[in-house]
Amino acid sequence: MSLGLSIEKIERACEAGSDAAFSRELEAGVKADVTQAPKP
Amino acid sequence: MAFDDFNTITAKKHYIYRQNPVHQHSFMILKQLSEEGAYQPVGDYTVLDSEEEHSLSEKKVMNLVALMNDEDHLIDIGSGTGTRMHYHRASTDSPDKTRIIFYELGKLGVSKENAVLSLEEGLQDELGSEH
Repeated sequence: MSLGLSIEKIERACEAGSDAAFSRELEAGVKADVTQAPKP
Repeated sequence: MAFDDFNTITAKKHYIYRQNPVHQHSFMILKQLSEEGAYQPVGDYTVLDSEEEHSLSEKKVMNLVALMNDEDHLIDIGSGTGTRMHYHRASTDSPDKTRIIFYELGKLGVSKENAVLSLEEGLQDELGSEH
């Protein structure tokens, strides 16, 4: 790493500003939506 | 806290932040451009969510500045808030400028703009190692 900002650092800042439990809940919800999507 | 941690914390930082004296919801990002030199403004962080507590906004800036200084100790701001932060990199008129818009996604499922970070320097990913 070096001084200054990078995409990786921005992602880490977002992670620190996010509720980990809520993020897991969201991701689980997205996976459930994908697996339960009706077939065309 | 280990002795080395204390030295790291008290060492002079390359990047610091200050409350913007003319804008209550804005913080200036300053950088020491040369050894023993004065700090110069290189950007700003402006809070767009007028309902956000000032102390929370300041913690977000502290985390960003810590990361810019290559520090690993971040403040866990998100626990218990029921929100998720994400970002969008907006286009700028120069590759030497950065503009990041932060959003907050809550339980209602709608993202709202939280803050905008503008820097007069590019991202490391594109510039390589920059000091």
